[in-house]
Amino acid sequence: MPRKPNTSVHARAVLAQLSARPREWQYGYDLLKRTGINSGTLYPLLIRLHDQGLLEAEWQAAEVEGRPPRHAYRLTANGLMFAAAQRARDVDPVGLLPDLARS
Amino acid sequence: MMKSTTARRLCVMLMCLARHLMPRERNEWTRAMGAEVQYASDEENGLSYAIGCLASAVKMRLAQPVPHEVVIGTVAGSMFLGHAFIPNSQSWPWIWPVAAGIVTARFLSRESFATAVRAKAGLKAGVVCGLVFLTGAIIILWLSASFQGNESARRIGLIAYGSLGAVLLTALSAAAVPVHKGIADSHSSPSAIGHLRSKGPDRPQ
Repeated sequence: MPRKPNTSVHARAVLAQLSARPREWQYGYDLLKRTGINSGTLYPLLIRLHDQGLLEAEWQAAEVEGRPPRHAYRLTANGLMFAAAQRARDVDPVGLLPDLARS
Repeated sequence: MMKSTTARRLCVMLMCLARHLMPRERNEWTRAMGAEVQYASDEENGLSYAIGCLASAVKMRLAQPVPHEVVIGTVAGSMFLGHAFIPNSQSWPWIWPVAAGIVTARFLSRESFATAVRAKAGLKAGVVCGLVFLTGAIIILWLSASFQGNESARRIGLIAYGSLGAVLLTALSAAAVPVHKGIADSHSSPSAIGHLRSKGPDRPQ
C-alpha cells in the first residue's frame, strides 16, 4: 500500500517546527538542530515540501559579515493548512472526536 | 565555526561531490547546503552535516529516472558478458545486434518522441558495438583455431571480449546522453562552496 505523503516522523517534526513560527524564516542548519534530523534526511524532505508548494524558500543576506547568504524557509498558506491537518490527525487519528462531540 | 584546515578541506570535498551528484535542476539546494556548512558550530558537526548533504545528493540522484541510454547500455553490456561466458557462443555472434534491436524497438514503441530520439542514440551505440564485437568474435574464432589446445589463451580472449564489450557499450551509451550546457554554467557560477573554499582557515569571527 503506498504511504501517505509527508506523514513520516521526520516530516511531521519539520512541519511542526516550521508551523510553530509561521511568519518567521528558518534556516536549514537551525532546523536540523531543533528537530534532531540529520542533513541527509532534512534536505530531501525540504525539497519535496518545496516541490509540493507547502514550503517557500528565499535567499537572505548573512547577518555576520564574511559569511555566505543563507537559504531560509517557511511554510506557505497551503503548508500551514497541511501542518494543521497533520496535527489534528495526530490528536484524533481516526476522526472520532466530531462524532463524540455530536453524541 | 570550523577552524581546522583539514576539516574544512574535507567539507569542501564532500560538498563538491554533493554538487556534482545532485541533479542540475537542484543546484540552488546544493548552494543552500553549502552555505549552511559555514554555520556549523564545530568541526565534528560540520563534517557530519557535509556527509548528510552528500547523502541527500545521492538520494536526489537516485530518485531521478535513469537515462534510457544507460539502461540500454547496461542491459546490453550484461548480455555481452553473458554471451562471452557461454561455451562456444562465438559461433553465434549475431545475437548481439538482434538483442540490441529488440531492446531498442521496445523503447521506441513505448516511449514519447523525445525518448525515442534518445533511444535512437542508444541504437547507434548498439550498432557500433555490434560491429566491434562481430569483428572481435571473428578474431577470437581465428585465434581459437590458431591456438587449438591452448585453453588458457582462449579463456583470456573470452574474458577480454566480454569485459571490453560491457565497458565499451556502456561508455558509448553514456556518451549518447545529451550534454547540457547548463551543467557547465552552473558549475562555474560562484557558490557558497566556493566561498567556503576561498575562506582562510583562521579568519576571526
